[in-house]
This record gives sequence, C-alpha cells and structure tokens, in this order.
Amino acid sequence: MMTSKKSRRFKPKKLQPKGITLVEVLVTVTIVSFMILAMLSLYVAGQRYFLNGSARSDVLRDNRHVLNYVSRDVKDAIQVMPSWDVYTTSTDCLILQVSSIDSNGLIIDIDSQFDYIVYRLNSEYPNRLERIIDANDGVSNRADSSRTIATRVGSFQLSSGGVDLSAVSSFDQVSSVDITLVTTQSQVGRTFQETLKTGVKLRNKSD
Amino acid sequence: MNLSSSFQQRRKENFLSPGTKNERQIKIKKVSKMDKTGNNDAKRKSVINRNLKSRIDKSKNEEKGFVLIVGLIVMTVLLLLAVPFLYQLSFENKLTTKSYKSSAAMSLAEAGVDRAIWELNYGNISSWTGDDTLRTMGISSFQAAGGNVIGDVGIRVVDPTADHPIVESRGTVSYVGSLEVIRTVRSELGGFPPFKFAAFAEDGIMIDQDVMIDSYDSRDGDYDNPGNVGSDGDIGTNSGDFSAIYMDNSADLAGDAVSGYESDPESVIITDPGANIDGEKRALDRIIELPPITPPTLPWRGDYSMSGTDSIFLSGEYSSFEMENNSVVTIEDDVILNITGDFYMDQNSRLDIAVGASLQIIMGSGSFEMDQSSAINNLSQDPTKFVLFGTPSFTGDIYIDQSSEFYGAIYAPNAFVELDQGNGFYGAIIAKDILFDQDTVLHYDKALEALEILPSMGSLYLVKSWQVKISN
Repeated sequence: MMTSKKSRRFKPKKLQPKGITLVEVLVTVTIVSFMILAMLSLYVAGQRYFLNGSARSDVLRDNRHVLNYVSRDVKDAIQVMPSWDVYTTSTDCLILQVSSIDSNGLIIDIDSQFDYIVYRLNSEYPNRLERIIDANDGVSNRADSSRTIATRVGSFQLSSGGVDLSAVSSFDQVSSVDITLVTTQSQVGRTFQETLKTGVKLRNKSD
Repeated sequence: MNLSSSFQQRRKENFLSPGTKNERQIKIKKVSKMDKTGNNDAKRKSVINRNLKSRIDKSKNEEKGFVLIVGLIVMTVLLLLAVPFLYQLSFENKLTTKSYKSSAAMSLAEAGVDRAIWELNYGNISSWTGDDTLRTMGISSFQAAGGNVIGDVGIRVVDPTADHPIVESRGTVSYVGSLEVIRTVRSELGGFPPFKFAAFAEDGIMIDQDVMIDSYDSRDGDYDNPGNVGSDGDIGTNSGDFSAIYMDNSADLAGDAVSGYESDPESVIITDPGANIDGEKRALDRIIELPPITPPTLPWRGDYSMSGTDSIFLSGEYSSFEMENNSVVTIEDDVILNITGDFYMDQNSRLDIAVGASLQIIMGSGSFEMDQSSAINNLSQDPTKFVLFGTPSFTGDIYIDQSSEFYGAIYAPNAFVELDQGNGFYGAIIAKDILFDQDTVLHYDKALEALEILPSMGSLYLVKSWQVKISN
C-alpha cells in the first residue's frame, strides 16, 4: 500500500518537469541577442543622427552669434578705420571706430572721443575670431579687452559694395560692410560647414 | 488490472488519445460518470481524476509574467539613454527661442527709430503724445504681415524740434511666462554733413595748370604742423558727363577724383598727361543729394552800408550788405547774416572774423562780389568758423581772389565758384561748377567733415549716432 502511495505522489511531479532545456536556452539567448542588437543599432544610429544634428546646429549658432556681434558694432560705428595701433583693416580684419561711452552707456562726445573695436582672425590659431577693444583709457567706460568669440571659423571675409576691404582707398566713405563667415566642425568623421553672409550699414552713414 | 494500473492506462489514453483538449476533457468526464456508478475503486479513480483535472487547470492559470518585467526593464534603459538627449534638446530649444525673440526685439527697436525719423522728416511728430521737450508713441502687440503678434514698441523723442533730437526706441518681446526680451536703440539725429570732399560740384570741376589740392586737419593744428598734411583732398561730381572733371598740365591732386554714380570714371575724369592724381579715379557709390538751404528767421535789419569801421555782434536779415573802400567790419560773436539781396565788398575793404567768433553768410537771390584787394580774414584760421551758404535761388558767381589766406567753406549748390587763390584756400567748396585758376592752392580741412547743414537750415534729420543697448 505504501509503495502505491509513494508512486502516486511522485508520478505527477514527473509529469511536469521543471527547468529549461539547452535548446530552449540557446533559442532564448539567440532571440534576445537579436533584439539587443537591433536595439543597439537603433540607438547608435539615433546617437549619430543626434550628434550630427547638434554639430550642425552648433556651427550655425556659432556663425549667427558672431554675425550678430559684428553687425551690432558695425551699426554703432562712426567709421571703418584703415588701421589702428598694430592692426590694419583687410579682407579678414575689421577696425571700427566707435564713440566712447560714459558709465550710463551714453556717448560722451561723438566728434572727439573714440574707442576702437577690432575683429580679426588670431594669427596663431586662424580658426579663432577675436574681438579686441582698445578703449579711450580714463575717458570711456569700455575696458580694454581681447576675447575669442568663435573657435570654429573656416574663413572671415570682409568687403564693401563689392570691393574687398583691403582694396578700399577712402575708408571714411565706407557706408556698409559685407561679412561672409564660414564656420566648420568635425563630428563622427564628418565635417559640417555653414556659410552665412550679411550686409550691414553704418547707421550714421546711411543717408 | 489493479487500481493503479487501470488509472495509468486511462491517463495514458487521455493523454495519448488524439483529439482536442475539449475532447480529452469530455473523456475524463465520461470516466468520472462511470465511476459514480461503481464501487470504492471507482470513487478513488474519481478523486484521482479530479486531482488531475485540477492540476491541468492549475498549470493553465500559472503562466509567469516575464514579458512585462523585461518590457519594463527595456523601457527604463531606453528612458535613461534618452534623458541626456531630451535635456540637450530642451537646452537647444531654449537657446533658439531666445535668439529668435532677441532678433525680433532688436528689429522692433530699430523700426521704432526709423519710424520716428520718418515722422520728423515727412510726418507730424506733434501728433504724438507730449510737448516740444518730449514726444512719445507706443505700439502694443505689433503684428507681422501674417497677423502674428511680435511684441511691443515704445518710442521717445527728446527735443523733437531741436537740431539734434534724441530718439530712444525699445522693442519688447515676451519670452517665457512673464520674462521679456528687451532691446533698446538710442540714436542722436542731426543734419547733413556736406563737406566730405575738398571740392564737390553738381556739374563739373575745371582745374587749371599748377593747381595743388591736398588735405590737413585744423583740429591737429596748423597746416604747417609736421605730419598734418594728408592726401584726403578728394574732388568729386554727381555728373557722369564726359570730361566733367578736367585737370590741366602740372595740376596735382593729393586725393581721389570721383565721378557720378554708376558712371565711368575714365570718361568723366580727364587728366592732362602732366597732371597727377595721388589717389584713384572712382565712381560714387550713390548720388549725393545736396539739401537746399532754407534760411532761419532772423531780425530784419534792412540795408547795410559801411564806409568806416564797425563791429557786428548780432545775427540779422539784410536786404543788401555793402562795404565801401577801406572799410573794416569785424564779426565779434557767432553771427548769421541772411542777405536776400547783393553782397559787395569794395576795394581794400576787410571783413574780419575775430578769434572766438564765427560767421555764416546766407546768400538769397542777389550777387556776391569781392572787389580787388578786399578780403575776408578769418582770424582764428579755423575754416569751420566761416561758411558761405547759397540758397537754391542763389545762382550767381562767387569769385575769391584775395591777397591773404582764405579760411572758410562754401556751400552753394546752384552757384559757380572761381578760385584764384595762390595764397591758399583753407577749407572746402560745394557748388554747381567750380573753376580753379592757375596756381590756386586748396588745402581741404578734414575738420569740416563734422560741420552739418542743420535740420533748421533745410536738411532732413539723419542718424548721427546709433547705439544698441541690451537688457535681458
């Protein structure tokens, strides 16, 4: 009787074997691997698109940022100077004469007190665009400074009315400045480049 | 066949028999039904069958929820990967929005200044709120062409009737919630600065032999100061006619020669082989509009005639102005003489402009004549202190030939000017036609660049300075 009871207890367990066969494991691992691979490739592609997209937008933003800066200063400028200190206005160097300002930001004397703003490519690192301020010391509220305003510059070209700024003879007649700026950035083996052009008038000469 | 083996057999049949699950269950039910009619053995079988059935049912309900867990894990991982991207995207979005809003605010501010200038020149600034010390105008919720609201513009014009009003315009664009992007443009207006050339003629310039034209800057001292002489003595014309500018043998120009807008400089500017131009021949980049002079209203003083010595301290309007032989008139203050008739200086008469004083002569429709050996002596030797203006109806001749140096500027867009000034003409000339006689020397004073024809004298309001202020 005992034997039969035992056999009754064990046999149903044998009918429902627990555990996973090797084949099942292999099939599962294969399927999961495929899923992970698919997901990973999707992720990598997504990441690449994202990085490329942000590289492109970085390049464009850099470019706009610089053009905003230069445009504002050109509008404010009294005139384009042929040279100032050690700098000479050329195809890639712009010297602007601006009025000195007091502590309230107001023009002190438009006819006699001047500061100078220079935009130029750094001679050592030609992909850096610098904005140099040479202020009228002791008079102007501006301070002397030299700042890099862009680090991914491909080229910075200046002209006025179709004439290269280096070929202009009468700078006091220059009433507008055309700026072409190329910014570049390499990302995931690709190089992104944006070229923006803008023409800005010196507002005090746009009569 | 004992109980156990019969059960086994039946179970085997149940499991191995073909048919659907339902068929197998029907079989089991049949077996159970049979058992009910049987003995204890049959009862036991029934119990076992019930057990089996319940196990089958149980195994059916005990499906494990791995998919949900795996799904949640995958989702979490993906979310974690996406967070930096989303963060970056929102950052970029903020930057772009701010950049767009600030551009819009800047454009609104600039448009505000232009609107005020238009209103001063062609519109009616007195219709704006305020008085002659301050006029204001606001445009709220300015709409673009498509109907989109861009932002607000606030314009202030300080001293709107003065010669140098100040315009401040503020563009405000709402950003996020109550935040605003504000751009302000501050601009001082003024008149037209005409003296950008040593000599500028509407129709043409004739330069005789041995004429010399160069430049200096009286702000840096005398012409003779070392380093003060420059080569900005440009001459120009609005004309595009052949030979509108002619330079004879040995004429020397330290500056550019400029022909009319869109003309061919080579055909307009003709030079004798012996003539020299230090600068270049070029065309104007735009037509230079010479504003017509409208004299200010001054006290009426009738005819003026002087035979002896006199001093003038006050401005006035004269129907004629005559200085007889050997007379000396000294201008002692900042004086404007508005002469509607003739201006005449007889032999050896002298019109002196004292140091610290200035003189502006505005010629109406009469003639301007300086006889032999008469002279206008600008004693400060500052050309900005003497200007001879001609209204549009002044179409006569101005002939300058004096035995002393002449310091001053001439603005007479409808007159003919002849210089026979070997002793030096320090200043600048604007006329319809200009003739430089032999040996005349013209030293253009760059300080004249700052001299304006004021809006009260007929100029439009133009931008003199432009400043962008940024806040937020």
